Amino acid sequence: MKALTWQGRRDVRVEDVPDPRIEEPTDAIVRITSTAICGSDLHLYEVLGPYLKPGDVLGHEPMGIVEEVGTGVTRLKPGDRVVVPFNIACGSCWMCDRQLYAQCETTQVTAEGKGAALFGYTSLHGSVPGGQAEYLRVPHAQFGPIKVPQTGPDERWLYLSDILPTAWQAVKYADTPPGGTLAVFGLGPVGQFCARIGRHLGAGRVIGLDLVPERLEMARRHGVETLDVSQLDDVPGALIDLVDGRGPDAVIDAVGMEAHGSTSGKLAQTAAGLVPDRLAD
Amino acid sequence: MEMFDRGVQLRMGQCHVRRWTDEIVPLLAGDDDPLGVADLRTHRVPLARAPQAYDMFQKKEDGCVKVLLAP
Repeated sequence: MKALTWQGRRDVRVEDVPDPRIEEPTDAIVRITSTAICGSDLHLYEVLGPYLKPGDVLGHEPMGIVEEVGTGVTRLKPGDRVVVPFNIACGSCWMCDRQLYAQCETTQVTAEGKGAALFGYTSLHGSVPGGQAEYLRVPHAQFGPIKVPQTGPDERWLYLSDILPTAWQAVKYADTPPGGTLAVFGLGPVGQFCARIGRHLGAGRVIGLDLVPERLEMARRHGVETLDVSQLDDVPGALIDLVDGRGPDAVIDAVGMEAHGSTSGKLAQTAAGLVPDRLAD
Repeated sequence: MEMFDRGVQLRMGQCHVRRWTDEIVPLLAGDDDPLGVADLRTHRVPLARAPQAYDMFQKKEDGCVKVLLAP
């Protein structure tokens, strides 16, 4: 099959790799119909190279049609339409019983001191072949894949794999009081969803900060107030002024870890500088 | 010290995907699209063009916000 493979820093290639097959009774094979590139895939493209080897298949935002299931997978059958969560959890260990699936004790990568295994995301997270490919082997398919209706385009459901629940958790953790103000730093895919979910879950105001015009405009289309940080000398001051001189009730950092490319790097540094600046005011 | 004095609380962590998906799925089922999932993807390209898409996404070229790949 064809798959997107990592070859080196800023070097990914589509290559022929062996088709995945059922290896454990709890496996499923999914034929991928859509799969996204995640902002965190750009970490692999750049800084996480030491934990990859040439030929590793990337991708952790896939969905598709179940082709085959192992004998231990009774909740899925061939033909089911599924979205595959980016983290691999067994659903029945101590952590999973507490819904802490990202810490699944069955798949966690103890050798690296990390949590649950992830698709397509380095030796730190289990070196599991990823979903930017024609087919994907899904371990622990007795628990993980989310069955979705056969109706609607893929992009209606696809974001369940990662960025929608990631944004949802961020908003839940931020715990903005009803009618309160939430600020979202960074209006990439996760930041966009954080802002919209913030509104949906009852924030009175959501303020999004970025410096890319299309991203600010997209946020405004969804009722989000925006601040263009490239136009401001004092970002924390502007944000505080905008909210009654007090600042927002809660803040989500959705900028991401790394400086990839010049503009976002500048924003990352601006945002990183923001917290201590504000705290030092 | 500053964080303590200002009462700042920090929470973070990898997403526990399945913990939230049962709440989110009903929001996607109707046509009213309250989370605007139909307005995020800016590019959809064949898997064969994924390398170029990585490059475009990293550089935020062509208004790129989200890329879907079709294997």
